[in-house]
Amino acid sequence: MKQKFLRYHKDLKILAFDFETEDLNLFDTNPFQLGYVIGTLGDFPDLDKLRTFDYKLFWSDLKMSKDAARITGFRHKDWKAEARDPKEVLEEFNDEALGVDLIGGHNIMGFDRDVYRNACLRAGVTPLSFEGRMYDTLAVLKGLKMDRPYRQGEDFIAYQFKWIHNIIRKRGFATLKAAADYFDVKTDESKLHDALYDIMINFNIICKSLWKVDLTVDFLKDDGIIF
Amino acid sequence: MVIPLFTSSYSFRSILTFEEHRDFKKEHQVYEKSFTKRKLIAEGREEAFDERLLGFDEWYGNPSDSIIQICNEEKISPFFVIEDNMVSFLTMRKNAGDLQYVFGLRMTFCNSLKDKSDESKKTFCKYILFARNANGYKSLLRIYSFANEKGALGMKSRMDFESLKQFWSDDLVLAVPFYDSFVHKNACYFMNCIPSFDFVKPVFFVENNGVIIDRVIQNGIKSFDPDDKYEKIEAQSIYYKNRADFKAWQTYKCIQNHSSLRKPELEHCSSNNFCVEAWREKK
Repeated sequence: MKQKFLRYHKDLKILAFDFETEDLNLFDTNPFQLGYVIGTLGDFPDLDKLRTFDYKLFWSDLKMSKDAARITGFRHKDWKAEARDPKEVLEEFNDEALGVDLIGGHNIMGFDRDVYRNACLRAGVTPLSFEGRMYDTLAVLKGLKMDRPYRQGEDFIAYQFKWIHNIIRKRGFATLKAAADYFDVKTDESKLHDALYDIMINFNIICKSLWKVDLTVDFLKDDGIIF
Repeated sequence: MVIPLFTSSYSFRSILTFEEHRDFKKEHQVYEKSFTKRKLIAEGREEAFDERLLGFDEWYGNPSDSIIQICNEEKISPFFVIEDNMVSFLTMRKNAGDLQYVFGLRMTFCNSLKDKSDESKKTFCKYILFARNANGYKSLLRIYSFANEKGALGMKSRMDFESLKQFWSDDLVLAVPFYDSFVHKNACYFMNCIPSFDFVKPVFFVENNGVIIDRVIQNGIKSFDPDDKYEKIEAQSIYYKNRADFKAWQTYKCIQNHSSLRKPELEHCSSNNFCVEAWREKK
């Protein structure tokens, strides 16, 4: 009986990702960094078991605003030295994403998914449509904190959208740090805001939050990832 | 077949106009000729006027794209127009020429007009009323007046199904838009919009624009009508002509939203498919 809940499936493959971008325009912002981690539910909480990917993406028309550079810790020199062709990076991401059960992140439904799609189109890569497999820790956190957790049988994607669209004006209410605190995921303060470390923490938040979200295997029966 | 649903700038959601077909290049040449000639006459050098000197190869200005012009180019007749008010109707009628048109009024519906509390905003959603004929147009005028007078809540005009019933006739068609419909609002927001289709058989517009919420709304329509009781029509909302015009449209939306292009704060505004170019690929 309990096997129907995703939290008991230790082999559940999860990908958590995050883009760092030059601004907040969902249509034409250039993501200069893509970080993602892949692991199974059984890997939690050992961060060393995760497969990690951290790429800088080269865009000839990258225009970083001062604010964005400050917030994201962007250094032009480092970026120029490490940046790779976005097409290669995004194709590799697609190959990895095809083999996972859940695609998660913090605010991916309100931001990163759109950035991903448009970056793919600009780079000449066919974007994956993974709307059916998304797990947004921002939405889940809001729902739990506001005492309206996901109910079995409800459309999980629609449930998440409801919280993504529900604006709660409380400073620091639904940040990644707030999520880590809420789910009691241990963090190293000095490493927080390092892109890759954030995603690893996010992976642990996903694993831990599955104990509070009654998501069942039916969620995986959806057609999930399609081109 | 995918039906293009045009909206004009009169609804503040589009950058398309209802300008009649104009040859701006020719108009400019005529103007320039007469201006130069008058100037030379004033200077007493009329003989110096030489028409051949007036070469004008550059496109004059950058006029907005017109729905009328697009429909003439693409041979779309009748064309569907969905507006948030009745203001554009006369301009459209005047400039449409030989083109046939179907006019739809997109209105805000709530569960009950009697409810004027803030909570009633959680029941707001959109429906479209199409006029089948001249009588339908007159009904639209009456409904529009009613919604702005009796149904008004602050500056917002509203309608509900109970009131719609008294205006209803076979001259009208009710359509459920893809975005901002009760399906969209109930699925993606904590809202409670209750439709009442006991006296009317609506048609549902179904779109696919690559927006992240498309799939949720499509699933919502399927679960609302699992037996396919209502007609579904594949449609394409059009707010600008080409994909390249997206930036201009987004700028217009940012101005309305008091935001900037670097931080537009427009929900899921990430697809440039709301255009004729995208429709052409689908049709």
